[in-house]
Amino acid sequence: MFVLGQIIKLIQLLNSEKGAWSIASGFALGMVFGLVPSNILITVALFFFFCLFRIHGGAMFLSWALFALFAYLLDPLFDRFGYWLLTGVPSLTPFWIRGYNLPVVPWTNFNNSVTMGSLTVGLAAFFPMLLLFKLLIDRYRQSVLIRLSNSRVFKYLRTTKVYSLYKKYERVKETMS
Amino acid sequence: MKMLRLKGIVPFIIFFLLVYLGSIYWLDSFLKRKLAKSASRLNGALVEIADLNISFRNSRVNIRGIQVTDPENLMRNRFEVGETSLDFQFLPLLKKKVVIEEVKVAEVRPFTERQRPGRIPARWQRQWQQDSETASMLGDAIEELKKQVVAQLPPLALEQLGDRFDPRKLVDLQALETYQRANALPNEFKEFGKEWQQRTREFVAAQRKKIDTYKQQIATLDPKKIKTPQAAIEAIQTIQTFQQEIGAQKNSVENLVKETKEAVQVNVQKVTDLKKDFESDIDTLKKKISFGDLELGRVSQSIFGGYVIQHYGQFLQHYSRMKLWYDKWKAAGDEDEKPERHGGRFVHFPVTDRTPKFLLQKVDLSARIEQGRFAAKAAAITTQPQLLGKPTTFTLSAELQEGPFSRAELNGLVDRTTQQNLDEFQATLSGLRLGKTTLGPQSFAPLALKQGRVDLQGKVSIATDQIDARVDGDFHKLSYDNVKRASHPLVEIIYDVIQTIRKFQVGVSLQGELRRPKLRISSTFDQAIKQGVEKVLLAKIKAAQAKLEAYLRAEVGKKITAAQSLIEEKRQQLFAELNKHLNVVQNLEALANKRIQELKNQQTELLKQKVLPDKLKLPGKDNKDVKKLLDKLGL
Repeated sequence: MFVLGQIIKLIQLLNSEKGAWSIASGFALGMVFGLVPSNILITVALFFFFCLFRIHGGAMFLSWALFALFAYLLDPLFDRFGYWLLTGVPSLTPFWIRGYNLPVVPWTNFNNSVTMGSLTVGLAAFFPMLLLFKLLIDRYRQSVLIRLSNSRVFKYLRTTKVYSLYKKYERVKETMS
Repeated sequence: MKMLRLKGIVPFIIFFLLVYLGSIYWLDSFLKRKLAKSASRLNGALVEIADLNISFRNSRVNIRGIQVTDPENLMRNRFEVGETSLDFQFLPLLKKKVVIEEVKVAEVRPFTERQRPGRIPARWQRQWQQDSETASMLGDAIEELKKQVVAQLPPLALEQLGDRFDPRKLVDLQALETYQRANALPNEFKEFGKEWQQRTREFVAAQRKKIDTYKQQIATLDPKKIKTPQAAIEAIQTIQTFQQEIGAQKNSVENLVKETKEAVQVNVQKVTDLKKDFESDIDTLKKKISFGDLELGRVSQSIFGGYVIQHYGQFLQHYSRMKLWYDKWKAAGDEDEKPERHGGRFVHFPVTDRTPKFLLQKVDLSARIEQGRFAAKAAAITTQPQLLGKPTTFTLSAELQEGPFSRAELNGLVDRTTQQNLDEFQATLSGLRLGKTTLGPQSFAPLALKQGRVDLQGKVSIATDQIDARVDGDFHKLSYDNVKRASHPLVEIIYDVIQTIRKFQVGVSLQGELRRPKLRISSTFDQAIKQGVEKVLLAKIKAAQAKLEAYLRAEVGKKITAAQSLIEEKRQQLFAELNKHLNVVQNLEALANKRIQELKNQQTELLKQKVLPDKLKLPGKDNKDVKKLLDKLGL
């Protein structure tokens, strides 16, 4: 229900004129969540970022779900890349050894090839993807949204009872708040 | 727009506090369930835990009320444990390592009754599946041992034992050389007799004619008819000529006698040789009736072999199961839990501290039970023995005032610190009380023990797939049950002998590949049985030997005696004829001698009458010469 509410909010925000960075960062963080295999410590760390920064939850959950599916296909590549990072870059080895012998760090499973590959790709792609999502949102608002709102289907939807009921709910909710 | 949302940290902290508190609450029951499930699968019947409590502050886990159901009786616990405490180290947990310093187990009560059946819930059930390699190894090992036991099982050879007592089956007369010779002798002797009789008769007949001629001629030379000394001298000379011929005849007769004697002696020697060979045959055949080749010294192999095979099979099954479980556990410990999706590969880096991922440093269990005392100790239980560099050791000991045994101790060592896997177990079991136990194959001499005591000592080393095991058992205070008598006479004898044995020692060794071990069973039991059986059998052997001798003497000796009689008969016949002829020759010789004497007398008479010096009235000198001549002639 929380996730569904967040997605509705996402559609609302997407269709408004504010919060483009929040949505873009939600998509970007969701991408990282989705790419990295589930691990309690990494999840906690990412969740911490989610709480600390203004990141849109709906965008993050939607992106998480989509990228998790996508990541399944990319796992063989993550495996090879992560394995190369862990074993094929001698300059990094002391760093890995240190991390391997530190408390708590081993719980991240960083020495697993898929975890290492996907986390590295996810973190490296975070900022480019953030900018890309921002650009896409802006484009959407400038062209797609206007076309959509002027379309017959959209106009028809506005005349339906469901839409009027939703509008009433929105007004009541605003009054309450 | 501000990027930071500092207020967001508050729900984050609240969320994780809730998660932490929840985990503390749920962790206990989660671990309790996990532990009960794993232990139940391992035990084969339900293992229940009443309460599990983890205290991170004290680094301790307390477990209360463990009930381990007996898989063979679901209404009974194998044992129940009141309190168990585990002291673990907290810091290694941050490095993903579990180090348990000590496990203390108290209030152990064996064989307690259960309130409800300890059946494993269906969702927990997972049959331990013997992998095909273990199954095939077990099958091969059992087959190999069976072959070794059967190969040395004497009763199989006893099937023909009855034949050993039957002289007719034991001896094939037609194939016996002395029998053939004895059969041939009578004909040979008959031929011999015929030939020599013919020769003698021809010889005698040839001489008889001459003898008769001599007799007639001697008869014609009657002294009374001799009128002159000159005629007497001539007659004497004639007879003396005969005497020479008669002497020659006598010599040839004597030569013939000698030749006949020699020929007879040859045949007598044949009989003597035959008798000698026959006696030797009797001895040889008598020796055939013995039990030396039955290898009674290996009876224990067949009696205890089945028992050893059965226990070796059980041991292998348990050992394979333990090894499989241990290897899986070790492999699980070696490998990190892989993430979902494709899993990936774990890269391991050098570690600065040599603490394994799981280490149970010490387990100490001590329990007073109704019958006595039980204790168990274990050390260095780990999933990474090579990293720790110490083998896992354990000791189990029990001392009972009453019960199935008085003292038991098992020491074990599981060494996986090197590539050469080594497992060693040493066990001592004193005063094991034997109830009704049947050892050995039913078809042979079942060792049906009524009661007895056994002291056992064993050592088993398994290095990779090589086993070196030795178990020594001291059986004493034995008594036996009456079982259905075996059908075979010798088996019956063995069984009778077994009944008299009150104590014996058995040593079993198994060496070589686990899959194809070489089994060797040695026992004083063998010696006792051998001596007993030999004693009983000796009388039987002697009787059988006498029977055989009587049979041989009846069949072969009879013929030899007949041959002997025949040669004697022939000898007598030949010598009778020869002696008779010799007498004739000798008589003729005597007659000739007598006639010569008579002729000499006659000549003397004639000389006295006709040439007396006085009557001749010769001159003095001549008269003296004639007298001297007459004196010289003895007249």
